[in-house]
Amino acid sequence: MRCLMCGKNRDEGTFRDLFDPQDPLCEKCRSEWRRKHIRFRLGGVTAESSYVYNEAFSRCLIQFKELNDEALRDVFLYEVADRLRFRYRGYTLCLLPSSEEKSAARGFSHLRLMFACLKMPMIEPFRKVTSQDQKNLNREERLAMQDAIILKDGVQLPEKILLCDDTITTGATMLGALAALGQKAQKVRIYAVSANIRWL
Amino acid sequence: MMQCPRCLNTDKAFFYRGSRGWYCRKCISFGRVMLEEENEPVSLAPVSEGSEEYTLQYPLTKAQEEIAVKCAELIDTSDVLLHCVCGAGKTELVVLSIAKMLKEKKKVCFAIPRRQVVLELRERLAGYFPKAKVVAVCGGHTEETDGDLIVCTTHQLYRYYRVFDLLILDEPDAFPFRGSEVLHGIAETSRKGHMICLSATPDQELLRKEREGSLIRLVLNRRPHGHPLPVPQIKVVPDKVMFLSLIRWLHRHRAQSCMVFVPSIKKAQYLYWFLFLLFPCCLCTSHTENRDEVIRAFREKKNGVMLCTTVMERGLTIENVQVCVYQADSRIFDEAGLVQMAGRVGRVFAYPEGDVLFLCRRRSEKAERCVKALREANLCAV
Ligand SMILES: [Zn+2]
Ligand SMILES: [Zn+2]
Repeated sequence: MRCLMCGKNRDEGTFRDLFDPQDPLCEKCRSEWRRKHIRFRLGGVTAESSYVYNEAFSRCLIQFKELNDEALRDVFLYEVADRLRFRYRGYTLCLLPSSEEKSAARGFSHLRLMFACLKMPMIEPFRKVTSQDQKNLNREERLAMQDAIILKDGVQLPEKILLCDDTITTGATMLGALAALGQKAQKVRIYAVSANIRWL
Repeated sequence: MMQCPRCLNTDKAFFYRGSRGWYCRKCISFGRVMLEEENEPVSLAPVSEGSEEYTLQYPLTKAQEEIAVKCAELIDTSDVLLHCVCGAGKTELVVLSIAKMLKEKKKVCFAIPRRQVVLELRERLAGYFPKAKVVAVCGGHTEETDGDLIVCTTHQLYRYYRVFDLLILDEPDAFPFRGSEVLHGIAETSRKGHMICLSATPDQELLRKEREGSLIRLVLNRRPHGHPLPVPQIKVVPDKVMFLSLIRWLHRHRAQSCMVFVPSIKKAQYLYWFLFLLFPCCLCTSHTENRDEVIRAFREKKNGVMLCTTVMERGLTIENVQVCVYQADSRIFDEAGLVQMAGRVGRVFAYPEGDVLFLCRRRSEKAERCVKALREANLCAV
């Protein structure tokens, strides 16, 4: 099997491969990711992330998201899947929206692929505000709404919600999602695969 | 059998079936290519009228002229390897071939592995072809990608699927093109016509093609000024004394510009700290941010010492420069690189000769092979 990032053939294998042969990344590529479980508060909600957003992680994420390399789908949660499944039993994964044009061009929802390996119930209740929604607003209001997130019409929200994203940089998108949920959800948690170093 | 239409990969391990079908992962960094979907050739604007007119700064020598004419004839029917010694003026050799293609309204591309050379080469070619629109395409310069004559890095060739009637590949033995299957594949699929490879140090791959007959090699062993290539002097000295030998050599050439090639950036920095007490020194490695400025200052000073790594081994012409390779036996340097470094010397008409010194810690076969190759080239030139 070849490492999905560096392409190196791993037939010879390292010691770790003997016990952990499924990791789609080789030991070297994996070691460039900085694994660190951190927990922090964001908009009054407990948030958790598993990796520090560094150069290696971002390279991989860009190859997956921007270059549409779907083969990388299981790379991101490979190490932490069991832990997440256990920790968030009973929760429903709520994926954050990406912009319509981007996912249309991509032809797949990258978060859906990424979180599919958890085999947990999953919904996509949000959408980004479109210019259609802003028709009757004035300029200031429109600017304020630019990156806003709203609930799709007629979504049924489950009781326990885990808001999921690939990375938390400033937290603005997450706060937008929280605002969209408002009081409608009973129990909310946040999970991002990686977090910017500032959250450490 | 599946094959990537862009990088020509056939290794199944690099194909992946996504939501829209199979795609190639080997060349994914250039954007996703679906295997089963039709890949249309990229279409560019037609070549403009009169773009084939050219003027050279200096007329070609007789030997150059002969090769240039032969090359322009051969490209109709075959790929060509122009095997010229460093400083033989290989860009000028293909000007005739370019003009011929442009006259037939055919698209020509001049591709080079290294980014730094692209802009400089564009200027030169734009000077030779005043009426043609010559565009440079490389990292940081990608707004305009179409012109009569395109000068680009080998990385940028992915934009031109099946476009070029003539692809000129300069220094295919240079990093990062050398050894990169993806870049080789992309270069292959960017052309629909023939190819000219320009190299002073062709690799096994090119020589194999010549043996197979898919490529015709033209050799030019003489520089335009007719002087022989400077042959390096190899000096085996123990590690501890090498620094002193270097100082002695630099002192002897204190009135001239000297380039000292060092195996690693770290070593270049250490040497710099010592040497700048004794000589007007500058440092030029891949970590140097204002490289162009450093080179310009070095050029103007005329008696400076430049400490550099392999990034500087190609493409640079400096008047009256002497070259020393420090720890030439290091495995960082290969034979082609050593030939290139030695080739920095004596490129200018006014200073056709110069001194090249290889300082080795032990006997080095690579260095000896390099000397032998240069000697042979000199013998053949007569
Ligand atoms: Zn790897
Ligand atoms: Zn490919």
